[in-house]
Amino acid sequence: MKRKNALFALSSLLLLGGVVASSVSFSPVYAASNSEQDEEFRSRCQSAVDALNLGFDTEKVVADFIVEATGFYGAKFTWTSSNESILSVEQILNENGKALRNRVHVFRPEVDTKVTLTVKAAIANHENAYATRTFLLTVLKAVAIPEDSLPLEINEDFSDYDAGLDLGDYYSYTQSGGEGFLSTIVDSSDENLSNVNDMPSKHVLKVRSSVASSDTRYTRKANVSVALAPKGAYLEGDYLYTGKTNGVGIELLNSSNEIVSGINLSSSGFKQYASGVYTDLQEEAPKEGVWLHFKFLVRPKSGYNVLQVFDRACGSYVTYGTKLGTFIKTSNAGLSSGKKGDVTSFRLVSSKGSAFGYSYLANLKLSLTGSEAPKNYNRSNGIGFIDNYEPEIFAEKSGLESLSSVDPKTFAVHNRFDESKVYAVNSDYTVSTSSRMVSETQIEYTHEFVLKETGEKQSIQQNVFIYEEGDKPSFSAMKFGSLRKDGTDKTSGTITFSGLVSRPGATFHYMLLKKGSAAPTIEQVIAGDKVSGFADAGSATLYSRSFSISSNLVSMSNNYDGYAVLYSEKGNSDLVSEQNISTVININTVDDFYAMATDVNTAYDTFRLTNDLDFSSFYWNLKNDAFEFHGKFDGEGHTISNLAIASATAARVGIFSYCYGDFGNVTFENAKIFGSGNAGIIAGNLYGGTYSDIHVLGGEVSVEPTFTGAGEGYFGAIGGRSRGEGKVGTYSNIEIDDFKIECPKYCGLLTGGFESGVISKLDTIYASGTIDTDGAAVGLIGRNRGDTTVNNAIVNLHIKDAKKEVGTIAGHNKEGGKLAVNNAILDLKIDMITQPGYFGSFIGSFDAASSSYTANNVSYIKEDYSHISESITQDVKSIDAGDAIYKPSTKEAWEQKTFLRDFDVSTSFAYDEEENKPYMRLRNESEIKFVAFDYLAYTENLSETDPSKNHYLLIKAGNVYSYLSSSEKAKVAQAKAKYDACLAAYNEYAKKAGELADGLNLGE
Amino acid sequence: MKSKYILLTFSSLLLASCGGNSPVASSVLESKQSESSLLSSGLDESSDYIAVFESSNASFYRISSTYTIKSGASVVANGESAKQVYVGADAEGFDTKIEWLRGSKTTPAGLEDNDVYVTTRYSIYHSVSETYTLQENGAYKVTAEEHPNIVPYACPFLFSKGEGIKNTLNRFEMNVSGRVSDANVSSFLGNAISSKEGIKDLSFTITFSAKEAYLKSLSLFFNKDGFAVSQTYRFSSTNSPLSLPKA
Repeated sequence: MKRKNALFALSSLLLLGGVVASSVSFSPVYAASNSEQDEEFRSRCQSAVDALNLGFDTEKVVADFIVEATGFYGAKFTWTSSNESILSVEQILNENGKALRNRVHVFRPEVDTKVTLTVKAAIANHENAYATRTFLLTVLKAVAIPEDSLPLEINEDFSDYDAGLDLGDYYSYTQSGGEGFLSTIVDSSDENLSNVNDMPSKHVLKVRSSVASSDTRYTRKANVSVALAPKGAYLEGDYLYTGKTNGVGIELLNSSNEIVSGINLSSSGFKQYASGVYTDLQEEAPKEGVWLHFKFLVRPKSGYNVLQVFDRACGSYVTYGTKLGTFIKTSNAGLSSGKKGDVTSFRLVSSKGSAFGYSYLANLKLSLTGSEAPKNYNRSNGIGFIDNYEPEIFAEKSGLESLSSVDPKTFAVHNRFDESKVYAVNSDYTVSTSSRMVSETQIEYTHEFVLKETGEKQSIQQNVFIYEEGDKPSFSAMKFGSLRKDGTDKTSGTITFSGLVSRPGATFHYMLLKKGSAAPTIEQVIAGDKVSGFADAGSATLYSRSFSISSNLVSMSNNYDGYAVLYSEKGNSDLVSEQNISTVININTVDDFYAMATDVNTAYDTFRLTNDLDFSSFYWNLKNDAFEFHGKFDGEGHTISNLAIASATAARVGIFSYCYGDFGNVTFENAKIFGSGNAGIIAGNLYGGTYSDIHVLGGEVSVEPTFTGAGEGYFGAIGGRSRGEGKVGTYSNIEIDDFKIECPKYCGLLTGGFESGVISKLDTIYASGTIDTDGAAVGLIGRNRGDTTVNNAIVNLHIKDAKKEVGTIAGHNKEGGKLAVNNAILDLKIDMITQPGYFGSFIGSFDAASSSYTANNVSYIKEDYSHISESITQDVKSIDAGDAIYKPSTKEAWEQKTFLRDFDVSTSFAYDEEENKPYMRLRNESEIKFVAFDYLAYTENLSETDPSKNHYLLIKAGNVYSYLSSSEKAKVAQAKAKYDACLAAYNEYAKKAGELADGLNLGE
Repeated sequence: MKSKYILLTFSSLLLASCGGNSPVASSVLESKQSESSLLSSGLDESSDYIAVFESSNASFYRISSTYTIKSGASVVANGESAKQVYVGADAEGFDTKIEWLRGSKTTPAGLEDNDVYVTTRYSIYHSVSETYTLQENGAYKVTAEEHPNIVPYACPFLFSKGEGIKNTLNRFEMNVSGRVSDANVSSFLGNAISSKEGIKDLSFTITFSAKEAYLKSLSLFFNKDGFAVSQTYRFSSTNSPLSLPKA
């Protein structure tokens, strides 16, 4: 077994988390005075509390919610309530007593009451330098619970219920959703909506878009049976939205809580539940502030569904989606998973996403026939879209006073209920304008239009960019795109230049040279001179502020340096440039990252992450569950935080559906993946590929909370499962820490399973986390049916609950599974297991007839499992391989008595003094601060007479020496001489002994 | 010709073929009786035992070797290996002569290795026409090679170079021991050890069954390059047929 060096020759290293081993001391990183330190830590605490976002409407609190226990810089949060009888804070602790989160219990009072929630942030060992922040919350009064009988029968009219129905508190609804308790998203509509439209009745549900990481759902029982509704039943109502919304979904469920039919209405259009996900039915968005009437027919037994929206101009319904007669058939359009059956409940879904607008539902009604001529609740007058103006314009400074293009009286204001009508200024509406100087060269105008009849208002903004006649042009922004193929031509492509300019009339000139060529002058770029390395040049005159220009075709096989300049008679801009433009696509934003995961046109491309990304407020719209990634992704050591992807219906959930490519050099913090099966951060399914230097810190891969079936299983941090006959997957330098898996079956900290025919090579794996499942096959690898080699692994597996087949390395190794493990330390804790004999420190269930395993240099920590059964007799198929050891009590014992001795312990594995076990953390190479003492600690124990005792010491000393500064190396010159002599002696000894042995074997 | 082979039992055969050079018989015709005729009963002189040992001839055998290399009191390397010749079945079930070499050794690792020691293994089957070599992935690789002269083990030791021969009868075993002067080491070892330079203080012990002088083992002890080496050969009949591995 070749030893892995700690640094692995990478820019971001697999390193320690600043834990100082007892025999290793680091130079102090921080040497400021106490007061300076306090201020620094106070500032960090302030940043931590400033970053907090409760994520819900604090003016209308009705249900329990969760607040964090820790934040940036490791700040620990302490939450207190000004009124514990209304808001009560409960810490959520892990098994070690560590605070994970806080749950704030809401006890609704008799009258709406304001309560202050205070958070105090402090960093360990600097508790005096804390920061606080307060949140003022309004807890709504409790609402009396109606006592209507359930389930809801056909022909029941929701309008019978009280106005302001608060679903979150309504007893006949069950709230669910992974983060549902974080936000109050459904509340009564009792506000003045005159700016939107009249309310059709007082019976209106207002649904705020969920900005949490998953949908929030409210379920109510129903009774649409084949007997009662042989031709189906209609769920209809009126819908209106304001602002950009993620929409509201209506899902009809069978007795297994499977979606039989579903629709989603949002500001971006209508969607229908099809093929396991919601797919768009129309591209055109519905009009904001206009009530539309929808009719949703479901024929549950045959699986037909159809969405119809009433077109008031035509006086008839428009049917959306694929039609079969007047219906959409399951097998054609939507319910490919074949979910059928009587509808026993329906649920309203506040769809997750990044939009913050509101949806309104009124007059919900379930009936056998549906309305043929729905009442029109819309007024005849309302402000619609406004056009005939430019949002961004250039203006010469001397002409600002007479700038006519900012006169709103010239704009066209349309009636939103009849867009062909344009209102007349003064007689139909008034308009007022305000402005502010954004900068010396930018004025922002705000025009407010007020419709006289209704009083409703609408504002639009214009930005004017000012220049003087004599100004030279300049770039306000400039971006060089990557080299992209041109159509099907694989040999040539284009580079797109985009950005913003300071004045009109300038000419944009670009030049592309082969990478490394001497930079051209501005004059050469403007003239398009064919200088050394010339590849392309071009120009275009710009009249608008933003521009996007593509180069001519250039060879795909080269890398380029790009240059751009703006030319005008008044002078030139500075020359801007970007080096090494290639087919590698830079990912700068969360949108860029999402594009990588969804754009089939770049599925074979190479990507690099240029900075850290935070997905906290990004909604990952899982458009399909069949996206294949064949490219390469290099995270370049950056961190991706708070990635959240969820679907209860997609067959595969992850950044990619399938990954065939390479992915690595990245850290995920608090990534959360929720699915019904085949769920993992990188992909639901891995088909070979290389996964290296991936660090998963915190987070979970779990079953989507509303999914209730067993599903396919396969949940793992890196990938749901690996498939593909002959596919080779390599996993190196993988760190999974403080991770959680909660799934129906086949759960692995790394992956849910390696399937038959898959060859998997794992090297340097640290995995620590909990698994909670009602099913079987649980371990680092849930199921191993492939040819799997694991070299160098530390696995701390904590089973919260499981049925059977629990093994630290593999839940089961069957059906042709071939498992070889070299150098591993395994620790298995079990809280509960249904079949208490069916677990092993190595493999939970092994079939010797079809499968094999080897364990070399494997140790497992002896655990007391007596709590799970009075008498444990492990099944003969459960494998405890390797040496049972009591947990070493010191770092030195870990190093000397386990395989860690073979690693560059000082840099690869840190030692957790509190937990008394090794772990891994990232640390930059620059942070490694070894000094002469650390080197001497090893060299002084070198034996000058017995080389056979020096193997370990020579490795360690060699590791440390490579990190010493020149000055520290100078201090250990004498020890280095001893080291060199001992190294030579060892090599001679090893060589001689090897040669001697060679001569003694028969026939070799 | 497809022939039926006979499984020879341990008690029926003197195994090692020392000093002999006859090729392996094309079929197993050496009967129990004919082998037994080589033996005399009631041997009581060490020279007689050695004479039997050196003159014995057997077509089918298994010889194994284990060794330990020490530096001071520490074991720094060890190994075990075996060589076996027999008539076995090829893939079609026809008889074929097979020589099987297998072994492993554990030696000090270089600093680029994880472990203090590294263990290497080998396993090679030679049939008359092919070689099967064990690869790292556990599968055998087959190459076409002619081995027309698969021969029995030829005992390389020149026991006449021994000095101070002693024999000790210990109920059921006879131990014959002696030493070899440094000057005679090379002659004594023959081709048994590839690198004989620097070997000193060589001594040996041969163990026979007391009755009928079945050879049981041969042990060597010597020093080289600061290491102390002990090596033991054991001889036995092959009592089960060999089959070629799956490629």
